[in-house]
Amino acid sequence: LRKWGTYVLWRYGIAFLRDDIGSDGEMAGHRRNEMSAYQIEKMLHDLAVTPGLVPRFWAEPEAVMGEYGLTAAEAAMVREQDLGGLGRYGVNPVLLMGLRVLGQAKGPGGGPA
Amino acid sequence: MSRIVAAITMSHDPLIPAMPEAAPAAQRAAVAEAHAAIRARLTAARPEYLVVVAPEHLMTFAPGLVPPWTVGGAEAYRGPVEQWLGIPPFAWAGDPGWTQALTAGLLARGFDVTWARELTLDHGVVQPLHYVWPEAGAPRVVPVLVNCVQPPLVSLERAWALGEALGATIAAMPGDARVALIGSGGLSHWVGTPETGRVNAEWDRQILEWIARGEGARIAALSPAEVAVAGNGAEEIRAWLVVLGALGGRAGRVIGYEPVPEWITGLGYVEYSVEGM
Repeated sequence: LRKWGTYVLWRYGIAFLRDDIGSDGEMAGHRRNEMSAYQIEKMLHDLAVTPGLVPRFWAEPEAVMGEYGLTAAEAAMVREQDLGGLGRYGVNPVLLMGLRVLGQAKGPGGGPA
Repeated sequence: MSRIVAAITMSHDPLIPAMPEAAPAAQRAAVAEAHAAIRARLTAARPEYLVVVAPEHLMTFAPGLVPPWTVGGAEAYRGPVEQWLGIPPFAWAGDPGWTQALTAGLLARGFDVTWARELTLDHGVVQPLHYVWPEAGAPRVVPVLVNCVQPPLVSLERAWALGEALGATIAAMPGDARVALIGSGGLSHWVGTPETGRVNAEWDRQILEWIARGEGARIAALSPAEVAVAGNGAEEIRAWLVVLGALGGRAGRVIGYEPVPEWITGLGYVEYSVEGM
C-alpha cells in the first residue's frame, strides 16, 4: 500500500509541476494552460504595439513564435487564427481581436486591409 | 472650486478609423454626426481639462500588469499605441501637478488609484479624441483607465463609486478649473470571440433608456450575467458608470445610437446637462 501511495504522490506531483493537468482544456477555471496562454498573450500584445514586428512575424512566424516559447500546437492555433480554440485555451479574447486584425495585416505597413 | 462644464458618454470603436468603409454609408454619416455634435458641445464648454475615462485593452498595459484604476500623470501622452489603428501618431498635453492633486483626492476618498507618469494611450482614449478633440495643447488631457478586460474586474458598483469620488474631488480642486468628462466604451460587442460581429441592440437601448430617464444607477446593479449577454466588450460600461457616478446619476440626452455589426459594436452617444454643478 505504501508503494502504491508513493507512486500516486509521485505521479500527481510530477503532473502538478509540469502543469499538464487539464492540458486537454477540460480543467475548469482560470488555471487552465495559464502559463502557455500568457506567453501567447505577451506575443499578441507585442505584435500590436511593436513597430516592425508584424512584417517580421509574417516573414518568419516560426522564429517569432519560438522566441515566445510556443509549442507546435499553440503555433498552429495562432497561424490558423483559431479564435475559439485559443479562447478555450485561456488566451484573453481582447488580444485575439488583434490577431484577427493581424490576419489582414500581411502588408509591410502592418495595417488592416 | 473647480467644476464640471460638460459630460459625455460615448462608444469608441477601433474599426471606425481602421476600417472606415466597412459600415453602411448611412451609419457612417450618423456616427460622424454624433462625433460633430459632441465636438460642438465640448468646444462651447471651453474646458481646461478633459478627463477621459476609458477601458484598458491590454495595449497601454502589457498583460503582465493591469492596475484596476489608473490616473495619468504625464506631461504629455503619445498615442495610439496600436500600430494598426489607422490614426497617425499624436501627442496630447497633460498636467502632472493637477493630476497628482486629483489622485490625492481620490485616495482621500477611499480609492487607491495608480498615478502613472508615463502612458502611451490606446484607442480607448485616442479614438474619441481623434474625432471630438484632435487639437494639441488645450485642454489638458487626463486619462483615467479602468481595467475592463483582465479578470478579476472591479465591480460595476465600484465604478459608479469611483465616479462619485471623482466628482467630489473635482468640486474640491482649487483653481476654478473648467473640467469636461468623457466616458469612452461599449456598448454591446464581442471582442475576439466566435460571436464577434454580433450586436445586442435590445441591451444597448435599455441602457440608453435608463440613462435618459435618470435611472443610470440601474446599470450599476446589473449582475455579471446581465452584462455578459451584451458581450465581453460590454464590460466597458464601467467607463460610463464612472461618469454617471460623477454626475450623481443625472439624466442624459441620447445624441445617437447605431448598431453596426460591420464595426462589431452597438455605438451609443450621450450628453448630460451639468447645470448647477
